[in-house]
Order: sequence, then C-alpha cells, then structure tokens
Amino acid sequence: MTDNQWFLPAMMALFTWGVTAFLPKLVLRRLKPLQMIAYSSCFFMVTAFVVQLFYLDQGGVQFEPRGVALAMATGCCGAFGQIFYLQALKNGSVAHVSMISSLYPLIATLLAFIFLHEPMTIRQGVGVLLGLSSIILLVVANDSKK
Amino acid sequence: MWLLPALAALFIWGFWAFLPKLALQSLDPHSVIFYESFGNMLVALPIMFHLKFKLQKDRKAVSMLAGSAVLTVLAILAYFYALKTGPVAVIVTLTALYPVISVILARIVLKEKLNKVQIAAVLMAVSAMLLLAA
Repeated sequence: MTDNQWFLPAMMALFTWGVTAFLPKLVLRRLKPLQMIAYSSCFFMVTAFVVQLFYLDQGGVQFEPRGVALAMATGCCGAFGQIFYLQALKNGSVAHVSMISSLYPLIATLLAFIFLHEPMTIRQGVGVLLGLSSIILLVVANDSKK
Repeated sequence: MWLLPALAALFIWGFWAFLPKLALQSLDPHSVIFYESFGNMLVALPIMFHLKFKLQKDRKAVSMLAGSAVLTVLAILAYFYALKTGPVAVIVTLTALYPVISVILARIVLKEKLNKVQIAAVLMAVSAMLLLAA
C-alpha cells in the first residue's frame, strides 16, 4: 500500500456514510421529502462554513473560476440526484429504485475513463466489479427481507 | 413512472461523484466543499420558495438532520482528500460500499441476524476492499 494515500480518507468516508446512512430514513418518517432537502441544504451550508474556520491558517477559501463552477455543479448534482431519487420512490419500490441509483459508481468510472483516461489494474478492476456486485446483493437482500 | 427519475438519479449522482475530481485540480478539498454548499443551496432555494419558507418544526427530526449534515460534510471532506490523490473508479466504488457498514453495525449494535445474501454481500465487499487497497 505504498502509494495509497487515498485509502485512509476513503475508508473514513465509507465508515462515516455507513453510520449516517440510516438517519434520512428515520427523518422521512417525521418530515416530508422536500422539507428534508430544504433543512439538509441549510445545515450542509452552515457546516461547510464552519469547516472553513479550521483552514484559516492555510489562507481560507481559495478562488479559481473553473474550480468554483465545477464545485457548484457538484452541489447541484447532489441535490438534483436526491430530488429524482425521492421522485422515483413515489411510484417505484425502494428495492428497484435503490438498485438502479446505487450503481452510480459505474457512471463515475465511465466519466473518469472518458475524460481523464484513468488507468486501472486488473486487481482494481476485479475489486470494482466485486464492489458493485456487493452493492446489488445488498439491495436484493434488503428486498428479500420485506 | 419510476424508471426515468431513477435513471436520472443514477446519472446525476455519477456526475456528483466524478466532478469533484476536476474541481480538485485547482482547489483544495475544503474550498470545494464550501462552493459545493452554494450549488446545493441553488437547488434548495426554489424548493424553499415552493414551501413558502414554511418549514415543519419537528425538533427531533431537525436535530437528526443537523447531526447528519455534520457527519456528511466530514465524510465528503474525507472523500475529497481521497479523490485528490487517488483514482476515481476505485474510490467511488469503495465509498459506495457504505451500506455494508450499516449492515455490520446492525449486526453488532442491534444484534440483527444476517441472511445468507447479506453475508455473501459483506464477504464480497470486504474482498473488494482488500483488492482495492492492495
């Protein structure tokens, strides 16, 4: 694992998302979806602002037009994705909708291949396929519980 | 008609996972998350107008969302740090395995029994993690 500086932060993201994954399900029992999106966006913004306080000694927030546009587009995509997901859930089963939407790493992989020509070792390729299969199995397992 | 919005979510989240890699070429992770919050708010503002800024007041749910937001921002920050130096395909797949953590937590904390499919999924996820880490 010599050049894998990315592994530790990736695992931290994995565990933190794992812990928070069930919270929206609990919240949706008490709030309507659009209310949840409105609240989440406000809290997200406040937290993102607070985070900047910890980076003041590094010069604070940077500005570069292309990076800013891409970062804002990321935020739009996150929110729009959530809206479409909730819209799909209105008429579709959680199992089917989750199954389709959780395969988003495939799209990201395709984009990375097209735009960045990212190389991938056979071992990593097998790992990605195993990971995607695991995600599908989890959705199937969740469906079979109902 | 659920297929179309589900496919839209798939494609848009694919872009959500990929675009930060490009933004991180010129900005640090903390700056990307700062501007991401503005993009997020751009979409949320019309929703708030639609709701006439009347938000439900449920203290428990709002507290949960506040806690969730803090953890989500920390997770995204960690994700950006990983994405800055690592390959998109590997990191996106690895972090998308987070439902496995929920399953394992449910087993440990709630003593929920895992069915055969869940056990297979967890084993595959762990194998994937080991392969991706090597």
